[in-house]
Amino acid sequence: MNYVVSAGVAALAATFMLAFEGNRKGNGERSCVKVFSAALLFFYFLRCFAYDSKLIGLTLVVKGYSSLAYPEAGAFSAVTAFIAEWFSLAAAVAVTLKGFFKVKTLDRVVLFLMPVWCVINAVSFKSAINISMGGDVNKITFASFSFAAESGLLGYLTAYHWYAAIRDKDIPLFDGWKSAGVFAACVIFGALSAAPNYWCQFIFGASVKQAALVKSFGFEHRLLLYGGVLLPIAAYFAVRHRDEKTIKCALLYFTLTAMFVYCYTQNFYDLVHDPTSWPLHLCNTAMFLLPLCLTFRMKRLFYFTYFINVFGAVMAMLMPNYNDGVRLNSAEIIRFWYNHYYAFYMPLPVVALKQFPRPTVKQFRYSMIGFVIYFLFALSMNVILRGYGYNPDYFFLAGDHIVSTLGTWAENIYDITLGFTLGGHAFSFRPVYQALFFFLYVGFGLGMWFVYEIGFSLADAHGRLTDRRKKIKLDKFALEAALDGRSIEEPMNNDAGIKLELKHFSKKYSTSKVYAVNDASFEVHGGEIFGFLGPNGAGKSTIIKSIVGIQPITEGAIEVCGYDCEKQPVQAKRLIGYVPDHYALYEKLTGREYINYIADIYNVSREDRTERIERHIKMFELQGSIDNPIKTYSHGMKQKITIMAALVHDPKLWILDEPLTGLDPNSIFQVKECMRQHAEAGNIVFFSSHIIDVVERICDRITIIKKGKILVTRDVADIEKECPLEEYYLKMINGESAER
Amino acid sequence: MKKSVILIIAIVYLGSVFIVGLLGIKMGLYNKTVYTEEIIYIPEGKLEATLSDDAREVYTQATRTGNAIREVRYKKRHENGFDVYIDAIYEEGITFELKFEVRPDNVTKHGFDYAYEKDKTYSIDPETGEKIGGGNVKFSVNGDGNAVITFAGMDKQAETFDVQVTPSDGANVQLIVRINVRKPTV
Amino acid sequence: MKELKALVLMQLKDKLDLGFVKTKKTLIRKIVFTLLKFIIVAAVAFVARYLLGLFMFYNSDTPQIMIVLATFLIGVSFITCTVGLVKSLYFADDNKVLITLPVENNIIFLSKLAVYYLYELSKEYLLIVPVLIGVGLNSLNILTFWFIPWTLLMFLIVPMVPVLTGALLSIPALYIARFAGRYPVFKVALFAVVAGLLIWGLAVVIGMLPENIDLINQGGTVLRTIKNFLMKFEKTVLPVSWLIYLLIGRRRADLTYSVFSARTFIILGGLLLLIVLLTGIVFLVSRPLFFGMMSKSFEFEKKSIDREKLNRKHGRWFAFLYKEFKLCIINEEVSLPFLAVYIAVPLLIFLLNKLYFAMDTRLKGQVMTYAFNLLIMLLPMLASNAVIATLFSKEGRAGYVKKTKPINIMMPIFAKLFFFMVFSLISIGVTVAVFGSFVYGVFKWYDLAVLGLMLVLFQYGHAILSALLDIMRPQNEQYATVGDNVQNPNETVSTIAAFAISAIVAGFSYILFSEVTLSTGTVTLAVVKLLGIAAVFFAAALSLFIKCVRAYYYEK
Repeated sequence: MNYVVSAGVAALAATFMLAFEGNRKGNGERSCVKVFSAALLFFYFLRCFAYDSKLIGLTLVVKGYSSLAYPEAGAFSAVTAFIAEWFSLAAAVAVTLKGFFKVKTLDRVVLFLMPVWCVINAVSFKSAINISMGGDVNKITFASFSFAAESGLLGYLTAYHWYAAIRDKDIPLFDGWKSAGVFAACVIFGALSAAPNYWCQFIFGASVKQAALVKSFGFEHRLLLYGGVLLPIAAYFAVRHRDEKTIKCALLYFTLTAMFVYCYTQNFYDLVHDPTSWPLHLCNTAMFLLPLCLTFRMKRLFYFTYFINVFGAVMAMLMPNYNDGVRLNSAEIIRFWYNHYYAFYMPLPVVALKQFPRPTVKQFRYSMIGFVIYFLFALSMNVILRGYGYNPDYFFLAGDHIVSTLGTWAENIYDITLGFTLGGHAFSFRPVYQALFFFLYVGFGLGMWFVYEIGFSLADAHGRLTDRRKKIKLDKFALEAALDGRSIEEPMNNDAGIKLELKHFSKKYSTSKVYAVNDASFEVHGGEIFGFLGPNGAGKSTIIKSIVGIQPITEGAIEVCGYDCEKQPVQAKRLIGYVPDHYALYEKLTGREYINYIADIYNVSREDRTERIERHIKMFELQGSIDNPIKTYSHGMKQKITIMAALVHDPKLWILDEPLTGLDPNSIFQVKECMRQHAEAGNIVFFSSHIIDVVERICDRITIIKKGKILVTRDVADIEKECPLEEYYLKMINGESAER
Repeated sequence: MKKSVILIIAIVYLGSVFIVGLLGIKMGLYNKTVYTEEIIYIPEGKLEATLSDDAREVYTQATRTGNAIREVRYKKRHENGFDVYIDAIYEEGITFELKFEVRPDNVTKHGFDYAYEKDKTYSIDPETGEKIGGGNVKFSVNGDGNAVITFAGMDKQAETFDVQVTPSDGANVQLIVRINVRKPTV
Repeated sequence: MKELKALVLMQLKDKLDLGFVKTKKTLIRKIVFTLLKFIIVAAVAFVARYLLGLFMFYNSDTPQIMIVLATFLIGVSFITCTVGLVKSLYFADDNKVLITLPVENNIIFLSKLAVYYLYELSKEYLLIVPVLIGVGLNSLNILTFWFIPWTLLMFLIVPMVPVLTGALLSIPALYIARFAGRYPVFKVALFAVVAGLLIWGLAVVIGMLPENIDLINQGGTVLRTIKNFLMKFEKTVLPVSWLIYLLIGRRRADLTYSVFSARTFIILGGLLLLIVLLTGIVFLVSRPLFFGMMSKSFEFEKKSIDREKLNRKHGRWFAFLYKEFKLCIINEEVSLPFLAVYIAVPLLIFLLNKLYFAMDTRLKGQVMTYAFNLLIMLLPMLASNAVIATLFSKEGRAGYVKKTKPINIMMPIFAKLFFFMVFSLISIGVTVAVFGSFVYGVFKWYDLAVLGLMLVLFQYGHAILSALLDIMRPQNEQYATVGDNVQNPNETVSTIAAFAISAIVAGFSYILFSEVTLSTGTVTLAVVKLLGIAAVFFAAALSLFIKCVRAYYYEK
């Protein structure tokens, strides 16, 4: 009879579909598929709650240690029934999801594996009904009807999907080994997710002497622990770069199978007759809430789970409520740990995979309100049902499990009761225990909020680091492309010669919304002494620091002798000598040691450095102090050491930022002489200063900058034809029009 | 390293010794009761001399008024029936705190019982605050388990007060302390 | 007087950060926090004395305990005052400014002493005073309550003694410092001799500990020895004993103490006389020399060079190493603290194991000893890495200029860590050898080698993370402007991480050693697992370091 039901349902579905067959472009066919897919899951749901599997508590014949509790059925039938129960869940969920998501791996699973499964299902149909459901294949019961309808729909949908794939020429063949590997991994993971709680016990036995006790930590515990921790993490990393619908499909598959696996020991009869079996513990509710939230995008409910369930699951894992004598691979243990680990772990990747945004304080507040409501509900149910003679312990508010774990002091608190009698029933509260429980839980919930914040900031930092590294990699590719096969040691711009060029350079500091320098462009050629003028805060130091590499460039480009300062920084820096506005020396070194240290960095040969150092010592009259510690030097001497260090490698571009501040006239003269000689040798001297007189006398060209913008770049000689430089500068700064 | 860090490390260091010392030591396989073999009187004052004949050790300490309290400990019981002799000049409220120790150190049950001349003592009724007993000496045992003897007055030129100390574990040893208080000679 | 007040306030603002007086709110907050600190220190002292009272000491022993504590704390105070006054009187940066002000040198000298006195006062009120009060509170039945306000009052004048003594001793101390500065060989030799003697002395003392310590059974004998020592100590340190008698008073016939007795006031008179005497000597001796010696600190002797120093070329790596050697290793402010830790750790482990192995521990106790050994090995070493979290910022502006050089930035960074890594490697080797000498039957040579490697990986990993902290949150500008007195948040984070890592490693080692000793009987598996954890930690730290430096160094 059940076979007839199965065939009948399939035929009915086919009939409906035929009506929409012609309307392929419209939504009718797709809607039909969705309805049937949902119906498939619905029938599975009905079946799941229609009975408790008779396979629970059974063990296969394993090496003679134990015996099959269904000896009359035989091992083969029991195994087929077991496989039927296991894979029917995976099949139902996979085919259901196929109706709603277009994901290649899922397509492959449905098209390539479901036909095989349909055959197995047909073969094991009888033993599934006879053994798992404890019924008769020739008699229709509620459970068998659901199973038959489910099998019929499954068969039909599988056939339909094949038909549609052939019709639309959309058979998802494997692209290569990678796609085959992904497929295999998904099948294994999908199968594991759908495994019933009692699979371990069924295969390995829970009552044999060799099965490990749950309370004594051993190799099996370690195996399960590592697997339980590593597998979900591996799964997260496997899916995180996929597209959104693939992630959602994967999460829904996992949460739906987890929900149904949990429901193996739930049935309608118990739900109606035994309130203690209601899944009102927080961790139990998590099994239902998560797939609901994912399916219908119920944000508030999800955040309730996120803040409240996670912590509750941790507490439950720390204080498990099962007997010490239970074996590790019993259904009870697998169910306990799977349920609680799931409730603890699952909300986190759901947020990490961006199915729901990161919670804000508002969501935290709502979840606290939700917790209050749940708490009061669970408390009331406990009190009322206990008054009527039942013995529930929802959320551990009524029983003594927690206090017996904590000790006598907790038991003393628990023993304080407050009761009243109504209608012949005695209702009692444990006010101190329950109040403490509530406030502690809220407190820990707040603690969870801070833990999450730390986690988020770590995740953000990691994300920023990843983005930055990607950018660096892209820049490297861009550089290689620009160099077009040439070595990185060669300048990007081969024809540049000795030149400093700013091309639309802009700089914005990360803490500011305003550009410190905006679209600055100018060129300086070899042999020039170039003056850089501007008021305080105009952006002179910003430009200089960007040229020498102290700060990164926001927009635009800077080239030094054809080397891009951003893309070829090391090569560009080799050509630069920098004298900062505040000397920055290692004062415990002697002057000679410091200059030699700089020369070593620039790989200056011994002969060259000796010649240059001795020449500059003579020029700056440092013979008596060059071998004394720098901390004994005067300000002027320190400045001279900085200049010597900047020139020891004979740079093509010599940048001086306010070098004459605090120097005596003799020293100023020496520095100016140095600048002239360096420029006469064909190099660039880039000179920033406030002392207009010196700029006027020494510089060939100047640029004036104000508020981050270049006002003018002109030859000094040209300017002097009109008016003194000082007057010109003041005119520019005070807002008259600029000539470029 | 900051001082606070050094302090915390020092505390952790000491704690590690104590924790092992308290929690990690082997328990005795069987609880053998160790009885007191000797009671030692712990002198209060500073050592002044160790006399070679009769092996007596003499300790003295000064009171507020500068009078010395002389404590003599005898290795063998004095012929007058005491092991420790304490001699002092009377001042109003003069108090002696007698401290004892047992040997060996690992005696199972520590503590002392005191016997003294009750007729020489008085006590204060806690409810009425009145003096009970006709004596001038108040005998009590303080929080540290030491005998505290206070002389509230003197009827004669010299008064003695004997205290016999026995261990709480019932071992057959005792120590007798004689306190001799004299009025100052004018 | 007005000038003196102005000078004192000016210097106080620099030394003590008086920003809290700006608003009522900050002032109240400062007062509350200071009171809280006082109460916490007193409470800790109270609890410690109470615990000692349970096991060891009677109420009547309280004055002797106070004498020991006061001797130690005031003794340290004398040393810190001398060293501090040398720096404050003769080497302070503000001397260059003060000496140019239109005030007499005497006023400047007075102001410096006054500032130091106030600084010392604040320190004593937050340490010595609450400790003495906390200890004394345990014995209020023999000490009177009045000793508390009297102590608070007396300590207004007590700090004058170490400060004035320090001012006197600062003169010879300065000469010694100058001599050592002029002849670095002398300094190094002196340090080596003192350190060597100290280490040898400590090792000998630790070696004298008995082989068998049974605190419970030998408690009485040990206590008697300690009490005899306390009695002798009280006689030896008479000045401190008198100070304590000044605070608690004279013992009455009824064995209680009376604060306001004749002896109290005699001692007080003596103290005041001493202060007057010291003040007189300081004014006669130190004050005239002050200006001359202070201004000499601004002079530098030019060394005469016999022959021209040659300009040698070295590789980049050597150049960075040489620079670090000169800046950090030869700089005793940087090198001494961490070298002291590296020398102290083996000694600490030696003492710890001497104590442990003198106890008759059961299996659980043995496992605890292994775990605590690892904790004590790691804790000081990792905590000393806090200096690495300041090294890069301490370069000040020179740190920025490094970015202008054409180098792979990893080179100077690892050059900075090089010497720390070398010294810590030696220290860990010695420490593990010391540990191994106690546990050789249980730990074979390969177990010890793996243990040493594990410690090295944790040490290096934490050092790298500390360096990363400083690179990612540089404080160069602060060091460039303020100098070495920056409150560097990176130091705090590094220290907290050190405690956390040490605690976690100790916890893991306890669990792992418990497991293996119960099952296989050898510790090899446990140390290998610990090595695995250390390797993962080190790899993660190094990987994060390299990635972050490459990604962010030039942006910071």
